[in-house]
Amino acid sequence: MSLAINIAGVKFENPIWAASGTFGTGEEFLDFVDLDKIGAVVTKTVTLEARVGNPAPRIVETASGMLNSIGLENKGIDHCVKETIPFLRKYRTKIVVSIAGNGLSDYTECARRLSGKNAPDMIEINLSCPNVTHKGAKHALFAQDGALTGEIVRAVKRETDIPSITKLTPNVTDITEIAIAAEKAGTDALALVNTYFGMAIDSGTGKPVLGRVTGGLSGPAIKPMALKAVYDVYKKVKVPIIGIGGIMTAECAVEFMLAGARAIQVGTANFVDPRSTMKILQGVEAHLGEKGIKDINELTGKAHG
Amino acid sequence: MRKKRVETAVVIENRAIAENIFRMKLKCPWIAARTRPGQFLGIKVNDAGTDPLLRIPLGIHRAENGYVYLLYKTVGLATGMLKAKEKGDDLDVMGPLGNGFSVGKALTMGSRAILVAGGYGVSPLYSLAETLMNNKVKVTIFIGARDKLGIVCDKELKKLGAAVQITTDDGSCGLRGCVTDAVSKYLRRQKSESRKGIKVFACGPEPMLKAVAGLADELGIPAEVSLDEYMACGVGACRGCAVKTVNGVKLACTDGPVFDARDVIWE
Ligand SMILES: Cc1cc2nc3c(=O)[nH]c(=O)nc-3n(C[C@H](O)[C@H](O)[C@H](O)COP(=O)(O)OP(=O)(O)OC[C@H]3O[C@@H](n4cnc5c(N)ncnc54)[C@H](O)[C@@H]3O)c2cc1C
Ligand SMILES: Cc1cc2nc3c(=O)[nH]c(=O)nc-3n(C[C@H](O)[C@H](O)[C@H](O)COP(=O)(O)O)c2cc1C
Ligand code: FES
Repeated sequence: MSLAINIAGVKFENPIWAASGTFGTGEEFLDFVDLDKIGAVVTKTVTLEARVGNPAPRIVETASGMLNSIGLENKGIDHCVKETIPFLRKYRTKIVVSIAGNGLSDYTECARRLSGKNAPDMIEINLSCPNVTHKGAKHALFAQDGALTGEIVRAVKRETDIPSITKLTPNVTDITEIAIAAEKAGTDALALVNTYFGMAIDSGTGKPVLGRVTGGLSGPAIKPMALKAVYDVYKKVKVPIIGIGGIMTAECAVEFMLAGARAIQVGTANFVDPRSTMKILQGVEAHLGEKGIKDINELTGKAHG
Repeated sequence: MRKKRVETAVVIENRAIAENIFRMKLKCPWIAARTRPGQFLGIKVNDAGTDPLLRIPLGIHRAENGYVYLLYKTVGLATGMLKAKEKGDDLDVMGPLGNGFSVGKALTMGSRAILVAGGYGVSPLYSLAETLMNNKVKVTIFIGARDKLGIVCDKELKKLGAAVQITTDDGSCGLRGCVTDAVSKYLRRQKSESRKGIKVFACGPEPMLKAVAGLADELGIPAEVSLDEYMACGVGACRGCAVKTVNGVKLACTDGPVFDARDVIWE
């Protein structure tokens, strides 16, 4: 039985990855997870300069999910190159560094700094963080604008040979349009979805709960919507899709692959059980065994008939 | 070496000790053997289904001989479900999490500790008192609550040999008024010479901690406060539990929950 997948020439031992912002650098999970076994770790999104993030409270639980407004708190790209990548290189996991910025030049500069000696295996271009504001932009998120998405993807591709994944927001009228724009611009893969805009208000105090008022919704609550996003995009693009959104169990992971995902990322589930990635990996393996499937790649897109 | 893990604990006892306040005894030997006062557990109350979804942080009240004790107030969905656990039930717990109080370091034999508890904040201060008394530190604990129904652990602390001062908002038990006023009066009464050997430890609602921090700062007394932040992961990965400090943004779950009161930048 083979669990290995290949995306843009990078060979991953399996398609079970940890999602950006939910797994730290991986070090936080050493007591629970074998970093030699996980397909890839996507690091917390880094920006050119360190960011302190948004005011507290930054998280609140909601029905079958949670809202976060972390605001990309991170130590900056140079710290990632100096510390995070060398740390992860001690393990067999593949390294995907997630990057974001206030504008095109931030993305290209991050890509440039990642292209040295300590290069990651892939770059995830995060165009979809709901918790930061871009001055003067027409849309709240870059990934709400197909043209802008294409521009940033193209610029990053020009800057570096490291293959890239473009991470999309579901907060759009038609996610397939943005996916197509990113594919045309040359992205090697697509990751979807990031969190859905949401908010919580405390009826007792009469005030919004999150310090930043609004946040991003994740967890089981978003799974059916995320699954549909993957299903729809699979019909329209050729590049591999990485499915994300409310994946809590091995069954969820298989469902996303059937919808069209080549790999999946585990996010909020890491908080519920820090061993989630390992459990999902074992469960997916068991599923293949039960169904007599020899190669996990056979699952991708099978729900389309 | 592993510092924390997910352990399937067994509920030994779970009963009300005051209005809406419960004490739970759990058999969880791995965690019990590695716990310091002020650390906490991430508890998955729900073993099937997605509401509540996340673990809840609860301070470790005591740990001994393979058992961990919790003290919790029922305030919502998760704590309400925890209340329904019965003897023999399994409970999925993760820990020990966070850094505890710095016992030992600043306190030597003959020095004095002033503990300040608001509501269920008395929970971790109990094991702190126990440890300090074992180190021959004199302990005075101020426990504050709205009314006498909210005062817990006072008898047990007296039995340990700690001096216990109670305040309630309505005067139904101990002194009438706010716990920080009582602490303030007490500390101001001390001669500046005897203030030198004092260290303050506080756990409770944020306004209380802020007041304690202000007081300690004014009187030049070192103080540690245990902060109550919303948490998701409990291990430093989500960056949800951010605390603004003079040393930059810190995390309540890994850098805390106990912080040097002087370092915290209060909102
Ligand atoms: C390090 C740490 C240690 C703790 N130790 C204890 C303990 O020993 N005993 C105990 O009873 N509780 C403790 N708490 C608080 C406890 O985690 C919450 O009361 C619990 O998560 C509430 O869950 P719920 O689903 O029952 O209530 P919810 O329905 O989630 O909330 C009920 C109410 O409590 C508020 N609330 C919930 N979580 C928090 C929080 N973390 N901080 C401030 N307000 C909150 C909500 O805004 C709401 O008004 C601790 C919290 C932390 C961070
Ligand atoms: C606390 C938290 C922080 C996150 N931070 C990031 C981030 O820095 N970059 C990013 O691309 N996505 C971030 N995400 C989004 C997740 O990677 C993922 O896309 C989303 O949570 C949906 O998956 P899930 O339902 O499995 O959590 C974050 C999510 C959470 C819950
Ligand atoms: S609770 Fe996740 S970083 Fe503290």
